[in-house]
Amino acid sequence: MAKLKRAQGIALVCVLALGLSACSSSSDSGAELSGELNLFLIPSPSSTSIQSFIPEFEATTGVKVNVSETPYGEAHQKQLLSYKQKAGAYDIAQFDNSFLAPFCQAQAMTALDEWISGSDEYDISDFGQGQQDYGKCASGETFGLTLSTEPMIQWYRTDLYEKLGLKPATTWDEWYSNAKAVADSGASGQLIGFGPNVSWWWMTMVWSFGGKLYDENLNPTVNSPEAIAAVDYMKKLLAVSPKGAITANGDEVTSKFLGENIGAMLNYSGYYGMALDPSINKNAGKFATAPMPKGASDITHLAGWNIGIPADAKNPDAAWAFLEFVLGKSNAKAYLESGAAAIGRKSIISDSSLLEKNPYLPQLEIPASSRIERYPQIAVWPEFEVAAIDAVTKVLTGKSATKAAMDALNEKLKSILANEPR
Amino acid sequence: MAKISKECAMKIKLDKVASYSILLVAVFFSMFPIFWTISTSIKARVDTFTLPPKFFNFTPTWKNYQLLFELDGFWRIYANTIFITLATTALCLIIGSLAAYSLARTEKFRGRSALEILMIIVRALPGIVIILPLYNLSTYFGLYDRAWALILIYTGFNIPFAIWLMTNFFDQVPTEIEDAARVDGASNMQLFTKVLIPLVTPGLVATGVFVALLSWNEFLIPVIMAGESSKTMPILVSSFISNRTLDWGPMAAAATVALLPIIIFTIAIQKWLVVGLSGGAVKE
Amino acid sequence: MRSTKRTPKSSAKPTTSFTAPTWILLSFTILLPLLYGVYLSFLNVNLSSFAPTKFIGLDNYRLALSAPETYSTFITTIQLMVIGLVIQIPLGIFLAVTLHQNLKGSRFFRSVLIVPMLLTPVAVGLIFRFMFDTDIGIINWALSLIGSDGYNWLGARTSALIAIVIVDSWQSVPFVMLLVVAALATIPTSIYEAALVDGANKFQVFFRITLPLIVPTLLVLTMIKIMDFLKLFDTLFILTRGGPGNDTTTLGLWTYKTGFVFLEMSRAAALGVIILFITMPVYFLWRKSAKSVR
Repeated sequence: MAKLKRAQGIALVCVLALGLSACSSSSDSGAELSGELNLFLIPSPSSTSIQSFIPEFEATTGVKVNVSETPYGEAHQKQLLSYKQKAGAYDIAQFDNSFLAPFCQAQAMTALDEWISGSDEYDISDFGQGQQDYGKCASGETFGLTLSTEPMIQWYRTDLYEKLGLKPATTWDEWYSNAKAVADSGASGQLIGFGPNVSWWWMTMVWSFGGKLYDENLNPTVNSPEAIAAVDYMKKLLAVSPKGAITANGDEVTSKFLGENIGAMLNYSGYYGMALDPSINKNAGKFATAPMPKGASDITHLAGWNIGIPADAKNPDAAWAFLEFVLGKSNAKAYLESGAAAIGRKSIISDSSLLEKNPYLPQLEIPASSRIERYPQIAVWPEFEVAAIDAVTKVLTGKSATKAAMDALNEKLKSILANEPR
Repeated sequence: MAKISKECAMKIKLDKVASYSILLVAVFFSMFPIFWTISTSIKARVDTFTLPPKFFNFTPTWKNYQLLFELDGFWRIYANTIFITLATTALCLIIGSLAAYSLARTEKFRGRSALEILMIIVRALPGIVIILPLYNLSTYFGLYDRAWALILIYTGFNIPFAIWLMTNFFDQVPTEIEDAARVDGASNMQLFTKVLIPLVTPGLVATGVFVALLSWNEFLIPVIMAGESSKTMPILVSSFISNRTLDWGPMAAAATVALLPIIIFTIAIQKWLVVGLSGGAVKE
Repeated sequence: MRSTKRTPKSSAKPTTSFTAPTWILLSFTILLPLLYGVYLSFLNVNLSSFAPTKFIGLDNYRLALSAPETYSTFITTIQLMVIGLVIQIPLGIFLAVTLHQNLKGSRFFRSVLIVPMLLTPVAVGLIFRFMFDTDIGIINWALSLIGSDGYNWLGARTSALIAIVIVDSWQSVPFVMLLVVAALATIPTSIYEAALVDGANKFQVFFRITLPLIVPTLLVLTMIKIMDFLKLFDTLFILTRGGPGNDTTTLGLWTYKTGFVFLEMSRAAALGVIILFITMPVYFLWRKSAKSVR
């Protein structure tokens, strides 16, 4: 099945290649695809999947594809340095959405809109509106295609819930009462990452409770009543969480939920890949996914990878051809089946044949009513995040009262946000 | 000496027992983490994540090492680290011994105090102060991710220590032989290579051992200056800790692979370490 | 003694040419970055911004000196240093004295005990991170055997600091021990014999005779350890990355975060210069005191 789809994909590339060579494209002399492509990837299931498509691409187009992988912690610094040099070291670059803002700032990527609008194979309309905007800068230019669609969703233990007669929570009050019921029955109530990644859950809660991290003029608003309520709520949740929760990072939240007895967790859908590993997943078949509870605001916190073409890329046309090949509609199913985190195409979400292996797919369909929140699109986000983690941790560990800590954080964020280039 | 009384003998015996106990406890604390790492590295995942911990009752497996060796670029990184270590050591010894010779033999020379101050700055200063500007400069000078750049930086950071050690060794060589050779018309370079070097060989070896160790273990410099192609072992080891899954088995294997050579090396050249530390270091 | 013969011209002592390579090397790898760092600290370089760099004078310094993190991380550094010294030096002396008794097999003990000292700090950090794990770490398991509940070692400031000191001590105590052993070896046994004849007991011998005689070495040691703590990076990076939050972040690690995570290169350079101003006087103070001890 997949092979057939792939063959279609390859045929498409050939047509594309011919097409590109037949009518000279925007900048170059109408050359057909040639030369080399240098891919900058970050170790991840998505990266592995992308690489699995390389042999076919090379065979059909004759373009040699080289890959270099850099761990997450250094990847973006390395990319920024490279783009500053303007030496054309990479033709395609994978990056986390949290770095879209600095890249936009630095004009480090090529705008993809022209290619996108001209591509039936990529078919941008196959994406919901919010997801179409996922890789867009404030200027409206698309600097990155969606490489993975990972909303924060609810994962819950079907067996524990059934035993206690619980249903997946739709409000935060329900979430807490569910957790309390499970905790009272002897297991751990719920789990979110209170540790080094606590910012991910903190911003989600703040938004969901109706707050904002900063207003349109970049004044911080983390000590608004809604934001403070969110932090207080997180503290309440800590009491019905397992013992190691206070230091759990994103991965540990997932591995604990999959390996121990915890009623529910809030986490990105992309972590589903860990559930496929039987040495991690001891609760196979005993959990399901549902949308995150709604607070005062209906928001979806959307995370995920982006992938784009650096502004100084030497072979942008071949780069687009590659992106179209791997991420286009024809190969979408094969791409998912090769182990990558899912991309939320409508055609994929509604494909019932994929549902068994990827039961979370329905959660990727983000209702139009839900406001999509990405990582805050500010260049100073790294520093902002560290300050926020520091402050929230102080509240969670009991070192500070919520209001005092958030007021202090707000003050500090003022000077950090003041550095944001406008 | 007079005959020792019974109490005295008892006391000596107790002292001995106490001393041995203390040393044995110290050995236990020193060796246990290493033992635990090696044992974790040959455990299957399920055995690693159980409590109570399994000390001996598990079936060993090579899977963690397999995973490690099949890691993309593992052998390249290993070879890289060896290459950088050897090159740094050689460079440090050559450049450093020359300078140490001057410092040991010539009381006053132009620029001596400046050199000494510079060396102090390097030894006292946290590397981060120097390495971040270097990172920034790397774009201009093509330094980033190049092995030779790393070697030069490693050498720069380690040379004051090497010079310090070797100066002490040179100090211990009496000047008579040189004076005699000088009378015969030997130049400084000839003196250095034909006379001094053979005499301070133990010192050179001891210094070389230390520099090699410091280079092998260096982390701060490569974590900032090295990319894919010039990565070293410590970076590989550290890359196991990230936001991604903590899989202790392969991590233990990586730690073992990084540490085992040092342990074997240490036991082999034990003597030189003590020579270096006591001969060179105590005299300040 | 020295030959009174007239020394031929080629006897000019080795200086410039022999130290030249070192000068060249250090100039490029140390001096240049240091000076560039100072220069950087007066600009507004941020890696993620491609805006043209501006000269902003002392702004970065003003920012650094008014930021609470500068002070809190400095205090963390000092705390680590003090706890570390208090544990490592006495422990090292204790082990050295025990070893010095020249019991049979002390060679074996010494070779085994110095192994931790030479291991890669990053790998050691990894090992201990596993051992300190809240759920499956062996340290908490051992504590559970004596009835303790086990701690989330790396999850709270105090316990994390202690954990860091433990890891550093595992590697540093052998070093202290070795140097003290070497120092003890230089004490002539006649002194001990004389003391014993005078009827001194073991403790008196140690505190009145041994200790004063090894004070120079201890001073050297303390200085080296102080500098080591100021430079502490690898272990910290692996064990806690400075977390939770910024709780175990030292000034050096904060400089790293500022430059490498926040991409604020100029602000990091300013912090570096501040570190320079802190470290240098300490070193020179010590040199002065060491000289006066002699």
